[in-house]
Amino acid sequence: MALQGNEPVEADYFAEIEDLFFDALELPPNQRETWLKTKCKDRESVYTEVQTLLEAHLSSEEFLSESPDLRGIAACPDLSGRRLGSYKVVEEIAKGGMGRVYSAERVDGEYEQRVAIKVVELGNIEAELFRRERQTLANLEHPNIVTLLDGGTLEEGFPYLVMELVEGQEIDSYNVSNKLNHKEIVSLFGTLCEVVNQAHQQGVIHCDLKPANILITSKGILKLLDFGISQSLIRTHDKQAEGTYPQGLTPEYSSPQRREHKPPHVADDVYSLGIILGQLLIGGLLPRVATELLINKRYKQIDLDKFLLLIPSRELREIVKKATNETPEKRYISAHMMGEDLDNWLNNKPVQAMSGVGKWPLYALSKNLMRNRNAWLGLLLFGVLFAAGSYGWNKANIARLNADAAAAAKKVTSDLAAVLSRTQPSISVQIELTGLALNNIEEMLQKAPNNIPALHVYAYSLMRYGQLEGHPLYLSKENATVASQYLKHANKSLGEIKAIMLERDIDRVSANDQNGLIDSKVIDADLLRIDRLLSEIQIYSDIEGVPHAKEVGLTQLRDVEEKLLALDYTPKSRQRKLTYTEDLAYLAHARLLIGDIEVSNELLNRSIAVLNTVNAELILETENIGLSAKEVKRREGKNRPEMEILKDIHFLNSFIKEQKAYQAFSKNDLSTASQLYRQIMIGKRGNDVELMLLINRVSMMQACIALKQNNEGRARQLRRNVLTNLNDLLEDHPEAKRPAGLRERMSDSALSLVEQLECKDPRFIVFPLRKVTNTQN
Amino acid sequence: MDLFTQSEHHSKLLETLYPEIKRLAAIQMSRERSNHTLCPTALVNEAYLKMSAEESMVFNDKQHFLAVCGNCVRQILVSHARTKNAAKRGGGQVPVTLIEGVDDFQADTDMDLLQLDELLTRLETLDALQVKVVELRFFSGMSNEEISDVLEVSLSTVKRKWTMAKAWLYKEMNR
Repeated sequence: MALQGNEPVEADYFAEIEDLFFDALELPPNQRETWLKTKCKDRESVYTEVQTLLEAHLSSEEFLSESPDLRGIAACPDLSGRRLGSYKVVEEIAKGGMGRVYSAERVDGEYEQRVAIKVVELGNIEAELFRRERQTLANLEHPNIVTLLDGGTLEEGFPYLVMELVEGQEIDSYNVSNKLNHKEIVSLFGTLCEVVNQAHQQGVIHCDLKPANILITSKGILKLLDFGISQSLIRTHDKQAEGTYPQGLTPEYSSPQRREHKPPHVADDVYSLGIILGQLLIGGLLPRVATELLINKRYKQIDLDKFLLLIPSRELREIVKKATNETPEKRYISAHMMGEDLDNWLNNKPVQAMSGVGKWPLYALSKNLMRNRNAWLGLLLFGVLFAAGSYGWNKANIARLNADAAAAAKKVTSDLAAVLSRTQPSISVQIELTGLALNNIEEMLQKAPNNIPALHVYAYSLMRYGQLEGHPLYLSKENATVASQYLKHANKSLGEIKAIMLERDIDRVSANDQNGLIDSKVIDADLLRIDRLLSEIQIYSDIEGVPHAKEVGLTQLRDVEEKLLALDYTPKSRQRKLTYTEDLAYLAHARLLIGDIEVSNELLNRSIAVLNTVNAELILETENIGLSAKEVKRREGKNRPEMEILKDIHFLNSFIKEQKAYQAFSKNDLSTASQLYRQIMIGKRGNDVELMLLINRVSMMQACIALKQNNEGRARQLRRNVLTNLNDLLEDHPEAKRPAGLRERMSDSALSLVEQLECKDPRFIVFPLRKVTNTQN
Repeated sequence: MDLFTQSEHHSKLLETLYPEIKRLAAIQMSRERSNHTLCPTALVNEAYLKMSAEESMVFNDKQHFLAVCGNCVRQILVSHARTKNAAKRGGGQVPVTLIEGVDDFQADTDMDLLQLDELLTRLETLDALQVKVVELRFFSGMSNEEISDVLEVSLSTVKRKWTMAKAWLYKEMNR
């Protein structure tokens, strides 16, 4: 084999390599290299070739030892062009886990018909069960369920189904492309629940509900595919599943019980419905959503908690949550019940899924209010019109009319206040209701103009509206403008009252109830109050980027403070006292903002003094009637305005304490600060938004104190509490900007704990966190 | 040894065998649990039984038939892998399957298979007998004894060619 000098023919060269390779293999391993080196003197390439082959030989023991798996090629062939019974297959139109779907047409000349043929390309299907299910589906006649026309088995052994060909869009992409709103989604979903329910009643469980099986035709008709054929397929899979996930199921939509291969149940379909509903509400295609949510990629399992958080509406989230509960018994007992709850949501009735959330009675009431909003207002309006209209317009009655109009106007607002306080609807609903009440009062004022008490109620309603629009949770530039307009309007109305009083030389007007004495000082105090609110909104707007608004606003507040104190005003009624307390507390707060602790403290002491007189009165009253504390509570519950007052007292008390605590904190008197903060936390009750914001502030300050005392663990715990509160708050008020910003900062991991909590400069406290006070005066 | 030449006879046989093997594999699959591996031996034997019963039998004996079978399975597998690869590289609209598990796991095998095929084509010019042995043993799942019968060479030659082919292919694949 000496080929030296010649260009070796490749095959010959290879044969030599082979010989050398096997000769070397004959030798003991430790002699091979030396032997090969001598053999391959001056022929480096041959040496390398054989040497690498020897190495390869040692490692190639397992190589090619197992024949390739032919599963890949064993797939069912493409059926395009094949004739199956009376049908000729046209082309593949879809491919899924179970097999392919083809379009086909009838070719037996009977009539023209386009159909869909679904081939189940799975091995070892339970033929008998499959046939039985095919029969069930054939019997299942429903306009929203795809009709089964025929079926058979391919010569390759795979079963197939001939079905009505539905040309439509899958429900998720239909949702995206038509930009359905929540109501449209929910009402579409109601139909789906009904269809599923009717199939359930005939004993058929779908087991593989997913958007791909729910089509919407061009006429907007919902069509459900694959009903009733899934169980045998799933049985097949379940038997084959040995630690691996059955390939035919769609795990994202499968209930935990399906994943564990338990016998199919109605609750499995309810679960899938829940996931699909959530997906539609989130508004994406699940594959997109899912990739971000998968906790287990292999099994495509969704992180349900994250998934639920993406659903924007709280009630709908609870519905999805109930449907997708881990425990089947805790889900809706039927698709029908789920549909009914969705119906509740559509009709503003209490959603059953919310019953597990707590605050249920309150929640139900607020739903009642929403649903009967017009009825409520009708009732209020009726009172007004009755009072204003029943006397006719003769002169003798005018005085009476005036008195009644004033009473009626008051009734509108006090009823409204009671309803709002009882139901705690969202700010936007409050704004809407207040707006409607304002309209009513305006209408009434046209019939009884220059009625001082009615005008006063009107001014208060305007003020209330302005406060709601300017609520710090939502405040944007637009809101600020609207709020200011209303407040200025209120200012104008109060000015009118003053003018009328001056003109008629009246120094006080009784509004026919014990609280309602209106004199020039009351009006001046109210006017200053409006000035205060306007300045606060201006300061607040500074955050929105208006230059110097904050400084200007703070200067204005000092002006308000000066005038208010100069007014020498002593509020008489309980509500007025609280309003005055609030004025003083906020003015103190403004002082705190510019670091003027001394004046701030003085103002706070004044406000405490006023608040204490109210407290003392209340204590005296209860003592006089000899009521137990429990009884007082019970009465409070019945007597809404009383309860409102107590709430106000509580809030103001906490607010003042917080400021005192902050003063101590800034003087580094940590023990006084923590003591005051602890008092607030211990005494907290109720869950008004304003109070919750205050409580959050307190927790943050407590965390700052903990940090100063090197107790980082406690600081972290407190920070977590705040975040939980913020999450709750944002659930109820998703568009609230301030808490959202706060949450963002507090969860920003790039910041240190001190920065997250803003401990270095916590001066911007809750201002202008306003208690929206009652309109009663 | 005209058995090895790409005669007209050979390609005619391959033409008949190719769809038949695919069809048989599908039938086998529809009967089997889907996570069951489908090994070529059973398939090839079944194909033989099926085709020998038909009158249009174009081959002389079982040996000849089996020899072509290995080549046939190789071609089927390679073309399958090629189609799938083309689809993966974005050739045309591939319907999105929600369940991709099985395909995903085979992706690596597909790449290897295509490389193996290329190497076998190169090996053909170096030593055609080695390629035959690989086809029969790896793609057809036959034993050394059977291969020695089919190829009419000694058992030791089969072993030698198999060892050499394995080492060379392994070396080339891991280069």
